[in-house]
Amino acid sequence: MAAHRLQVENLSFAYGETAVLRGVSFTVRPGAVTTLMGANACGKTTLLLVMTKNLKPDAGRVLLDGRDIAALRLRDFARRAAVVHQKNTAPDDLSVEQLVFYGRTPYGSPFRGRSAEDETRVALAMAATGITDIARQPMGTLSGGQRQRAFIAMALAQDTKLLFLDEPTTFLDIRYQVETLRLIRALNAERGITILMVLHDINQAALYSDEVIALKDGAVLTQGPPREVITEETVFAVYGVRLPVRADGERIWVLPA
Amino acid sequence: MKTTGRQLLTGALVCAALAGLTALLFFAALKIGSISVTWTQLWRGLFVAYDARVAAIHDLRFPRVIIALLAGGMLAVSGLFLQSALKNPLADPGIIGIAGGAAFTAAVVAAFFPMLYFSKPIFAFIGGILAFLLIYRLAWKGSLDPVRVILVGVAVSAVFAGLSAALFGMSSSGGVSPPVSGLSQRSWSDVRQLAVYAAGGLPAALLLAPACNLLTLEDRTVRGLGVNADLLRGLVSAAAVLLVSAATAIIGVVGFLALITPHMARRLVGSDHRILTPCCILLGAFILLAADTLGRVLAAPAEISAAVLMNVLGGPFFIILLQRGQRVGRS
Repeated sequence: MAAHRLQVENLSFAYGETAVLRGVSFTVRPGAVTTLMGANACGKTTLLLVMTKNLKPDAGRVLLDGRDIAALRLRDFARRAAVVHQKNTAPDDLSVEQLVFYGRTPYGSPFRGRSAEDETRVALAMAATGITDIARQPMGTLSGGQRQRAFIAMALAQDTKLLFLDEPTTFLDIRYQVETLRLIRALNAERGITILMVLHDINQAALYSDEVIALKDGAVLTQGPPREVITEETVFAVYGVRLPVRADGERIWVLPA
Repeated sequence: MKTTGRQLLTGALVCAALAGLTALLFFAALKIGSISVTWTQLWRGLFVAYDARVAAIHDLRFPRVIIALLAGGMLAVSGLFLQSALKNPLADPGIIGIAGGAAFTAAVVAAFFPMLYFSKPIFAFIGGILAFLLIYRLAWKGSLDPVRVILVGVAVSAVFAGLSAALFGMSSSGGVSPPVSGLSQRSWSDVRQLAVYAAGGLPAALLLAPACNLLTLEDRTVRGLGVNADLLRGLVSAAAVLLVSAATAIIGVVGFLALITPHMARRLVGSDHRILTPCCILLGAFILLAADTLGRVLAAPAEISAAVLMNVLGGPFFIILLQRGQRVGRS
């Protein structure tokens, strides 16, 4: 399966009278890790929700392999793209494995049991996220990092070549933030999954993305590899604060002081 | 979605134990009462040869026992499904006025269109749905806050209780008395009427149980799995309202049973709805029959209705849940 082509064309969205997206257009590079960045309330999460059929755009469209996702049924979309949302809940007594099996929902029916394919995909997803040894543990006993990996595993079990993540590091300690971001990079490198995520932290965006899309006032300010895009000017334009940008070989980061 | 073997085994054992206890209670409930018979007499009278005393029990006690079992199971599942659909551990169709709405429309039909007596549960369903939509509409502020649902529900409940009282006030001058509610003086025709809805509603609930598991996740997550969460919530809610309405049309409003039973069942078998649903049916049947039988015994020859007993026992339980919820909310 080749990587999906994902395009956003002139998207607009408003919550009531408040316009959040005003004509957003971009193309996601197939096979890359792309991060949406921007200040609070700039429309990052809203954009992700529109792109995942959680919200209907007022204007414009989202094209997946050239087809408007509005024309795709939820179930068909779920077989092509998986989403890890920022807020996740699960019953405390649900086992990790049971949760990951929910990822097979787009392929199953409530009236049939698990197929061999389901078992294989779930085993692979748990192995890829390193949670095989805690498969039987109840969700209520997991650490924040383990929880996040369990939900990523559920998304992987959907067996898609496209993965959306909304602020996957927000509620985690730094150790688990790094763990999660490394996992995301590994999934991209080893399984060729195209990744589009929203990150709050500008340095995480700079260090873990192939491409960065900076949003400002509900539109795309700039798009490109972090080294080209993340400059003092862009940071000022997006966040409204002047910060020094440092480079070290291929890596680039912003000093938050 | 496989449940681990041990959970499944525990669930099966608990259900079997509940079924056994309910069977024992069933016979005890038949035997206990003002017409006294011995066990052998009861057995012979029911299954072997005609016996006048047992025949009286067959006509008087049998129907109420069966109705208590059916209605108990239906109310308990209805509570479980409402809690799941509204993501609200405090939801109880009695407290939030769904049963009140059902009872009101059922009473209207009984008072003004007595010829429609046998479709009473359908009209009760209309009232229940009306109440549900009203609560949903009034409590919806981008999401459903559990406590807000309860507050709106209490108001809706009060309105329907008031309407019902007004209806009886008006119609009593015309010689129409409030319809008989509760479990006493139930006949075999009531059993048949309720059994139709139980036979449709309970299996439907068991079929919906796996889908209820999905509702324990966030709505967005459910959509991400290719399932329309709103549609699913609608289906589960409709099943809940149908079950509570049919039961209410026959026995009137019984509060707290639908609230307590799912909580007890969760303690027993965990949160997997595929096990929880049958467990709730059995436990609800057991509790309502136990309450009814207790009510017949406690102050004999007078009767305390099962609804009153449930209020006395359920009220404190509700307060405990409220306090626990607040503690969770604060932490």
